[in-house]
Amino acid sequence: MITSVAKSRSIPNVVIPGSRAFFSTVVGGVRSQEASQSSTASSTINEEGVWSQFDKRSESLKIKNPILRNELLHGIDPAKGPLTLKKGLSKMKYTSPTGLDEVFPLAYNFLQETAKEKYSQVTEIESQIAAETDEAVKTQLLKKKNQLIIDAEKFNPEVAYKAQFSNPENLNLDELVYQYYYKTKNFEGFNKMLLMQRIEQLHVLPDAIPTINPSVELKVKFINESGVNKYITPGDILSSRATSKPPIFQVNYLNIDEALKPSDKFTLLVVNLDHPNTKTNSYDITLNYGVKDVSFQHNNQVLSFDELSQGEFAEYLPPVPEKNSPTSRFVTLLLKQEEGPLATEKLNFNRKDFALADFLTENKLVPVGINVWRSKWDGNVKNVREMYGLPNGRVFHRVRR
Amino acid sequence: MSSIFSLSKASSLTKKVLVAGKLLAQNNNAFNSNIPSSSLLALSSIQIRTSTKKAAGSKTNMKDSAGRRLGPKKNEGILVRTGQIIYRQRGTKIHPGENTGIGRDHTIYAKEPGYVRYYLDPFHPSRKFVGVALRKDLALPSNHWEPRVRRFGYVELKDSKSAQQEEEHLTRKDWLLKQKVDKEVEQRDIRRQTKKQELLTEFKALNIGEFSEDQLNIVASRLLNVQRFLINGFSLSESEQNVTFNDLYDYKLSLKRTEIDEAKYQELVSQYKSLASKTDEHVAFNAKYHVVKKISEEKKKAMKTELIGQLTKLTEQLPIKKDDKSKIVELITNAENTGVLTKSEIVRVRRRFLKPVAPESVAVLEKSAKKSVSYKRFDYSSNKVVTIIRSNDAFLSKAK
Repeated sequence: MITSVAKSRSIPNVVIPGSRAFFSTVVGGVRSQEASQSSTASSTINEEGVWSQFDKRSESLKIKNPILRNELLHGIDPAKGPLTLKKGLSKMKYTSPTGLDEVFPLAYNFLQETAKEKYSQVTEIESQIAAETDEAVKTQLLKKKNQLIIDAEKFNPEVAYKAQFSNPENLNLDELVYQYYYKTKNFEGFNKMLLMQRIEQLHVLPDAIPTINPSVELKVKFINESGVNKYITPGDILSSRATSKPPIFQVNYLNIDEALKPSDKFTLLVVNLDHPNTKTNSYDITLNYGVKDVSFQHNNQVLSFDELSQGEFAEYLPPVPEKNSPTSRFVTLLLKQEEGPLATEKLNFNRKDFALADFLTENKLVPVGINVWRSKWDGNVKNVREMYGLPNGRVFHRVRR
Repeated sequence: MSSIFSLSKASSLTKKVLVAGKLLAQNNNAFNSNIPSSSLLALSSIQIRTSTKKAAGSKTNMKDSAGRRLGPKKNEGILVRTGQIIYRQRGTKIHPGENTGIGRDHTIYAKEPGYVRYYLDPFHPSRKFVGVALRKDLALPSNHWEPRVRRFGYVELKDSKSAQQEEEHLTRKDWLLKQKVDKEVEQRDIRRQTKKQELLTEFKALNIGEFSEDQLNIVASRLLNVQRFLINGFSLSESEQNVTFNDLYDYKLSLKRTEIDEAKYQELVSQYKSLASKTDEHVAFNAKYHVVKKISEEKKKAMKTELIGQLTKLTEQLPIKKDDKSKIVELITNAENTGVLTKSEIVRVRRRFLKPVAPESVAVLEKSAKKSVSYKRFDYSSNKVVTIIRSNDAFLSKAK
């Protein structure tokens, strides 16, 4: 084995077909020919097009690392190998796909030209919107404009690279194109499917609301002394200690068709669907937390407790399940207020027997985001009750009859 | 099938024909048969076998099992208790609907007490269902979009003694686990106390100002909590915010429990806030989570560039000498302890300036000597394995 390797190594100046050396000679030959034949052939990318004018566009659409950006746009230097590969041998072995280096500039320039056209259409639509008075037509135009902006940037290699390889939490979701990628890949591709599976299997639908098609990603995280730094997975069973203090929420508005307006207000509810009622031998819904007139201007925004405390109409009550009662489902609902801000005096509700459906219809609230966690009795429930000055919980017989 | 049938027919025919053949041979003249002689010759070669044994089949067919008493055991509208059998069947003639279950032999039984309902479900048009409605007035199937009608079914223990007994009851598994957890919590609390004391002494060493005993206690527990958030990956400002939120929330809860009045609450909050802002202004944590004096971002940046400059100067002359090595280590450790560099920056700086083996531009020997090390490596330019001889200076651990 070793001898055969040594033999093949010892053959001087043999270029193995398909290897980097072979490829580079071929490419080198083609490139020199092209250069000699015509100077107009697009062997390099146009760096003065719409995708490169960073004085006019957001820096978040650019790859920060200059070496990586150069490799992506101008090809990989065969002597150095790609930056993204760490091992020296892997760098040496790497060959870019056959013909890509010639095709790439041509394709890039073509797509950039198309994007330029799209952007010119956007400016046209913007002027139309400015002149338009009819709201319905205006929203239609806005929808069209958003789609055009996405289409113009969707195939930008830098944007596509960032959307594919960077941490989704670091994407600038205020850029429509990242919103589009996050929505299709991360939200609809995974998070939403998981969420829908959990809320259907746990019968949150129809126990809380008849149905929902979430357009906002609502993430829940509990901050407490334990220091755990994690957004909950829908349906998680959390300890009473973890949920002893109010959570913080993160919202990602992913409704591309209907842009978020500054005047848009939301209501946030945390309800328990499984509070035992021994009189009716059934369950009541209780309201554990209620905040109105929540607004968020940009995506990835964390709604901290301090921000939420301004619109709080029902103080946070932690989950304190009773001994031997079944696991309780705590549903967090983000509801869009159809009629602007809510007046606190008009809010009519009973926290202990919360008529959720009536509350939504009375106040014209439309569910746009949802999340759920579960709680069951544990040894710490007693301490949480003491913390909040709540009376002792009921104890039920172990056997269901 | 038809061929077998025709064969048996044919065999009976041959029998008759053979008999006729014998007769023909005996009295050739007596009968002037209609059968041609050539066909007789052909048939005479076929063998016959008559049946002597009775064929099988009648014994088991005479057996007949008793009826299995299948069918509905509870009809529409009948009140059933949990576990009562509603329908016995072979296969699923009827499917289990709401509040019913299905057994191993497809027996449908009630899972809740209520009234039996036989129904069709538009979501499964080809199936028949039987379910149990919890109330007499309820129809099945229930509305797909409305909350389910559910029965709680647990009885509250009113007797305080039995209730307490039940509340304190643990399963064996939980009980065994609790012993372990309690012990670990105890040890953790001891660890936290020592950590708290360490942080407090570090804090005192910063000489920020005069603090009372109570204030120092608050500061120490705050630092301990901030440290925990930092270890869990929050940034310093996030950690500080979270701890402030938790501590202020605790004051709010004691107000809610009416342990303190509104005035006292306000006083505590303002006191805490001023204390927190005072400590946050001066205190930061280094990469090993020890308390250090806070350095402003600009100053930190300047210190970093200065450090990198010093390190570059020290590593200009390769291979690195022993004195320089200790200087580099000292500089990096100092930057680590003062909190100038973050954890990842320290790793990067170490990798860059404390390379265990110097590059092959220096300390390469032609021949092996007394204090040299040789190793083999692959040479990419010549596509060969080459032997490299290095003097001891090339290795940082053997630097003189």
